[in-house]
Amino acid sequence: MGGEPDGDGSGDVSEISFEEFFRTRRDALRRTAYLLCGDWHRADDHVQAAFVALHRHWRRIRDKAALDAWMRRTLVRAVVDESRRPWRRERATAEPDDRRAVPGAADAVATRHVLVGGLRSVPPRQRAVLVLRFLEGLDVPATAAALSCSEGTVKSQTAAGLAALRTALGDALDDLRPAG
Amino acid sequence: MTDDERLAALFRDAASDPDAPPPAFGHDDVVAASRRITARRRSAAVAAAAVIGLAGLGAAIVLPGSAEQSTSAAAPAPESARDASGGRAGSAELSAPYAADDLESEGPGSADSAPAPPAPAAAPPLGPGDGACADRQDAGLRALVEEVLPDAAGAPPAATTDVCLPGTHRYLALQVDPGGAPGVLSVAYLPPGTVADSAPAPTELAAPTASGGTVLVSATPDGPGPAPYADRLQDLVDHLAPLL
Repeated sequence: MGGEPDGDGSGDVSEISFEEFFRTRRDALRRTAYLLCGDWHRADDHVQAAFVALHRHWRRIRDKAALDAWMRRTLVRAVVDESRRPWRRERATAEPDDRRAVPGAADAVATRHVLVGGLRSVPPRQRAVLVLRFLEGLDVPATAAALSCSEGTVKSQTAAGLAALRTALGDALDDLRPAG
Repeated sequence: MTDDERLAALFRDAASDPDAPPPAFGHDDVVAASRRITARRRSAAVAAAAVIGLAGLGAAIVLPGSAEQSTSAAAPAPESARDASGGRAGSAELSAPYAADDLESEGPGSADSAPAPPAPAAAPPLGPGDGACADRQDAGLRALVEEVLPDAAGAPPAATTDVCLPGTHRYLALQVDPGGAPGVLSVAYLPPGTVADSAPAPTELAAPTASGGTVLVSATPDGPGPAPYADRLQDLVDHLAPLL
């Protein structure tokens, strides 16, 4: 297994490189997961699970340049998969979604909460498109690759996601416009 | 500032919540969890091998000289297929104990060497789980899946969350790569009374089970290619439904 050191020391090197990747990427991935699922604790669950899966395969991964894409894809898949499962609906988040009750607030904290609350009401795949494009800064082709869909789907999901977000936010952030 | 730039700024700000709790896990937690999963998988492989061996032994005892007995009429079709695939069931007792510890190290495709896992024809359906939280890598469910997809025997678990799901559910998510079509194979068993109210994905199949529950099977490709086992999902659902 990935975490067990080899007699020749390659295991130690492998562990060090994993730890370095973990240290440099954990916080950014937490932020992505947070916007994907709207809850820091669930975000931690998703990111930790992705890192655990990565660690188990770490030594066999040849293309380290693809790690970010793999982690991104794993996170999106985990969040979308969980959100569409019946048990997810049965065990909906304990935190009431009352953040949308702050429209019109002008300060940064309120704006932050308004946006996060609005995102939670956007369908999961549309939300994933928005997060990858506007938080991760991916272009349309990269987003399509991350979500295993066509570029046309990314464009339409972006438009639909922004429309859903705009609807959810009301007048709070009324200058959101579809981008494509 | 363009609309996209403005949106990006809003998203970055929303994700940079200064009131966010500190990370709930560190590098050591990840490594420990990784090792724990590996150890658990090895234990599950050993347990599955033991079940297989016992089932084979049981079949050999109950059906001595089964070759000339017309017992297949009492067995459901999948069982007959398994019987046909192996005198292995009868011989498992002779070759056991095989090196169960090596099951994990065998890559996909090498699982042909694993014994065909014959559950007794009269075995009751697996039914709901009994833990406090559902095991995301249900060993019993995995053993049934591998009866249909033996090349998934060495597949590592796919990433899942640690959220506690009802213990009556069963769940399995494998990172598979059959024939160069990598992706995630997910199998879920929902107990009686639980309704899957979400619209099935294009590669998701559902069927009622023998225990009155529902089995859901889905395959999601890692890339733009085909979903793994896309042409075998129906076989998998057909196999699992009478056994769950």
